[in-house]
Amino acid sequence: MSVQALPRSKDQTKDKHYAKAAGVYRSIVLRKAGWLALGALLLVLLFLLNIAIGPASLSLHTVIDALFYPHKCDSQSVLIVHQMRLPIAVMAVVVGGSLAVAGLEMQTLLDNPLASPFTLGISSAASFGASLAIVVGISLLPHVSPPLVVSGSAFVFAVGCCLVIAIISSVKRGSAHSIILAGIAMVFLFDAAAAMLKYVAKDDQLAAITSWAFGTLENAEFSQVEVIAAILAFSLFFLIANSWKLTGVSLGDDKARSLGINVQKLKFETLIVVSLLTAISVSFVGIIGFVGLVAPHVARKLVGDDQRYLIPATCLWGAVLLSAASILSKIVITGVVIPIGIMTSLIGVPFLFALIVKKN
Amino acid sequence: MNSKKRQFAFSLIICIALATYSMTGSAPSLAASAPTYRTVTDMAGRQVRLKGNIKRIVLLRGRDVYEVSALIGGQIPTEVVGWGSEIQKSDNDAYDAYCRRYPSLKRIPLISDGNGADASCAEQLVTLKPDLVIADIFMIKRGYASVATFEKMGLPLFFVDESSDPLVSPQQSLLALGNALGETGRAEQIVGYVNKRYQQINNRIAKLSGPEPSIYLESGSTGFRTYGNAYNSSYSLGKLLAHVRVSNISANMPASMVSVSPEFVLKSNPDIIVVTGANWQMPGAIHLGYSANAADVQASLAAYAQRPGWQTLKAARSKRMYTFFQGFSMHIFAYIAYEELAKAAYPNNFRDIDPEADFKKFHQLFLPVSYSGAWTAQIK
Repeated sequence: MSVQALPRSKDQTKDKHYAKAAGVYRSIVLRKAGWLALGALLLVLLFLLNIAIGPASLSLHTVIDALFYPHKCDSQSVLIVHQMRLPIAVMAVVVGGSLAVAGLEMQTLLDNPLASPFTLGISSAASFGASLAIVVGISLLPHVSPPLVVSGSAFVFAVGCCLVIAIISSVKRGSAHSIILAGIAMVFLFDAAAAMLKYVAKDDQLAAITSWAFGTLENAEFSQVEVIAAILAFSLFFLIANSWKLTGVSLGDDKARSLGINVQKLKFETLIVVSLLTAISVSFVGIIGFVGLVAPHVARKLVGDDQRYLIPATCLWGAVLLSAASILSKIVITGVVIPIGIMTSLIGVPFLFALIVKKN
Repeated sequence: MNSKKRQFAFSLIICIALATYSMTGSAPSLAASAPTYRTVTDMAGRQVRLKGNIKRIVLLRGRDVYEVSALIGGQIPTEVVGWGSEIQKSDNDAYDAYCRRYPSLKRIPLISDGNGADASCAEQLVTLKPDLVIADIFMIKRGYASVATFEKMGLPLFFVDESSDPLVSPQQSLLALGNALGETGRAEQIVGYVNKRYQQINNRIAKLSGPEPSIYLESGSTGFRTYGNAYNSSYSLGKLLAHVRVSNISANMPASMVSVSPEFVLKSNPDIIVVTGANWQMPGAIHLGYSANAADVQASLAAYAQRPGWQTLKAARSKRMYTFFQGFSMHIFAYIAYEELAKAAYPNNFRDIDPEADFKKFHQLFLPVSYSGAWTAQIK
């Protein structure tokens, strides 16, 4: 009896422990889901606010009418809401999400909390591509829409830069140090080349290069939003499908290998995805810094390191940050939209300080 | 002994030669060839020591060729020995026009415009052995380190101020420059003419009453796809707007030049829209200048009128959309822009004023290059 009773009592204790653990796990999952829901709610609110606020001072009633009952509204209000505010608001969401997710995976790949989507020189390469298009490309391709030439050139150089780094990463078996060094080399190379272009650029071209580099959502169009959204959706699908493996990689390359993860292959594929996300965003809206650095830290603080939650949370908080920056860029000076690239840092820095202080 | 005799004979010959030279009246001409100097005050308030007879001029800002040529005319090809490469970047039409008129200008060096502490530029300047280096005061205002470098090298740097206030700075600068170049009379003649034009416009403006029309003025360097900078009342074209009795919708913006929101323009619904033009590279910009043609200007203005929402604006509906050369803001002929603005704001009161014809007349009176192209326009 006693021989039989002992295992039963052990099983009972085990069950109790399992039940307790399951309860704790459920509460953790619930808490994480709660943060995700809160992020989503905040994002919806900010998205709506971004549509409601603008220099034209349309009433909330007019904005709602323009959105849902355009026939009730005057044509100018419909135009303002549909062609000016809506593309910007949606662009803020998809670009914020893209840059944040790209930043998160860059931090994971490089095992470096200071990494961002632009660490590997993508922004410098895109800047050079855009500058080249502004100084030379537009006149060489007179039959192509100029904004398309600029975005296309920025994209080609950004992807080219990433490919070089991905190849180096592949040769050096995914070593973070090699990737970072290759990235630094790219930054210097493209910054110097861009500076040379600026030196020979005419006044108006120089102004256009500077203005591009500020980063702005003002020229957002739905066709661009669709492209970024499609790449973001594909990236999220790929990353969430590999979220266990990525969580493994975040523990360190050796531990990840001991878990049976093909680290080199995963890093190569993720680098390509991250590069695509960053390159497409930067080529349409210019350089918007800080979101990709801060959003992953905010999300990590809220939902932990498990990439199953961290990826969607980072995407949400990136979108939240950029939507907030978009709103702020419209209200600081009446009638002027300050380039959002300036605002993201102004919003992001307090976030980062708060995190640092709390961590200490 | 022989050697001493030879030395004595040689010294005697030298002495006789010198005595003969001085007696034949050559001594005064020797004295005249030694350079004389005088001190003049530039627009930065600096005392500049210049040669009495200036023969080698460098225009650090190439676009000052308009002002210098108005003062010295046909001496331009012999006296201007270098000009800032920025003329090709910012006013290529003027570069071509002056090179057509004086082909030798194509052979003088285009120098870096000193947009930094540029050692090679300083070196290049020194090798040109200039008697006068004309620079713009913005180099001081923006703290360019090259100013100190040029001064250290003893270059005769003379600052003009073409753009602080287009209503007065170009005239003050021309008088100062006239003094430096020994062309005071010519400078006074041009400034007198220009001030008279302003006076004529201002006299009529003073008699106007009723509401001021609202205006949106944009620098068109970005082309129609992107909104360019608008001016508040403190700077450049914004100062012209502040005096011409219009209500500038961006007058109270916190920055002197800032790109306003498209929504803000739609909300303000201005009575008049002005987008400036030049020989800019950005697609969709309005090309104005010596090589511009009126049909292209109309097509570019029409593209602006098709910006999202602009078809509903009062200015577009009533065809009160105008353009003028951006460079007017920084030259002695800024009054052409002033006339265009006054005419745009009060077409009935300035019906007899024709800014385009007035610019042609300015060319005939004061500039060595001929008028051509298109410089102002109203949408048709």
